[in-house]
Amino acid sequence: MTAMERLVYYFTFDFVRYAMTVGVLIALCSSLLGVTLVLKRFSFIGHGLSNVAFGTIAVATAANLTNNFFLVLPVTVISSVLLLRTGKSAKINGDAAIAMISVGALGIGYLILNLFPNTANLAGDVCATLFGSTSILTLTLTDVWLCAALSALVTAVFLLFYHKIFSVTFDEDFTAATGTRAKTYNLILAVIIAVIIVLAINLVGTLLISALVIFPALSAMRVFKSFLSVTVCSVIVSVVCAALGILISIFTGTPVGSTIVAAQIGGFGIFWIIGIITRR
Amino acid sequence: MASGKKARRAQALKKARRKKIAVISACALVIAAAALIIINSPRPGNDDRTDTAASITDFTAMSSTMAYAAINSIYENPAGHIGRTIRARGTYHPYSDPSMGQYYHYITLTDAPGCCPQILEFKLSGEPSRQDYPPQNALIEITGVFSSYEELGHTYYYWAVEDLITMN
Repeated sequence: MTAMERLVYYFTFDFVRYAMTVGVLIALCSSLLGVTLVLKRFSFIGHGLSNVAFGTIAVATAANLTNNFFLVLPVTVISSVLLLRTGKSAKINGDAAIAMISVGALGIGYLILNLFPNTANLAGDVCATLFGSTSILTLTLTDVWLCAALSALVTAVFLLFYHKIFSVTFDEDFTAATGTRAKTYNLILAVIIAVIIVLAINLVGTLLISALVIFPALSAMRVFKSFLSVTVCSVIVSVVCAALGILISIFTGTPVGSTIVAAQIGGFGIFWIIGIITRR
Repeated sequence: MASGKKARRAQALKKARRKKIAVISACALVIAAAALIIINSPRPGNDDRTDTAASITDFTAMSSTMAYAAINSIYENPAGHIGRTIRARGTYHPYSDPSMGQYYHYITLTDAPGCCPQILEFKLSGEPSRQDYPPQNALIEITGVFSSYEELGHTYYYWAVEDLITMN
């Protein structure tokens, strides 16, 4: 069987089509917000929130919930709102708060899973959740519809409030001074970020989510300078790397999450070189 | 002059809003079209023999990641895959249940990081004895048909093996 014949054969399996569809949508949404997060110096918020999601998944598993999504999403949204709204008057600053919540949730989550094991292969399930080795290839049609609906919502909100998000990203104080409700848009950003994190766990696992958010934005910034061009380039890079990562993974048998991150690192390297060449 | 500026600003805002609505509608249409393609695409199943001329899903020819996901999809909807023929390679493990007075036979397939094995129950066709099965931990290749049986009021799924090859 040639590579093309094998690819066509693999695409006859519905789980491959589901994985590609959801993978592309998640990559698109995460890259849209990635630029904002990198510029607001909140790159690690994804890592913090994903560990909160891991802790919630642990609680849901211990409680034997059939579908943990409806517990993970609200808890992650609440955590995101609390983290991003602490602001300058907070007793614990942004990065310290993220670190505290991140490691706390990860530690407590793993402790709960060990105290109340609900599966024969605990280490394997934890590994799959942390690194997203095959989660994206085990989605049901319901999962696909849910991801598609949430991705459409995230994209629509980003497009509708693009100018406000732009203002809040670059100068929050000035935006508030001009009468725009900066706190409201920060709240919207917090909710969108949480939704994207919960979706992205399926693609790359909880530990590698930051890569999905950071690398496309940083790659685009090597070459482009305006907010719009960086955002558009970031989306293209993220989608291409996600699709490439999934394809390489199913062909070579590598874990999906790590392969996508490796593709993004490769993309960053290429854009770094292009940036050096174009600036000469 | 001020009213002229205001009117121009209002028009620009209207134009921007119309553009946004158009973009959002286009995105929604694209996503809806993609969803329809997914739903209407052929799926391999009992009647869909798109894999090979011999109608065998050959996990030995797939990557470990793909095989893991394919097996997972079978066990997500086991009733829909009864009669499906597969070929798989893995490690053989027997299990003796004293309460039932019989052996159960399993083949273990590991995924890429080796953390999430798939354990499939199988039985040799006919009336095999324990000696007809390979030694424990042997690397084996089986070709079998997905089937089910009832035991103590529960339905269990297994592979009725037509052909078993011991690799080592």
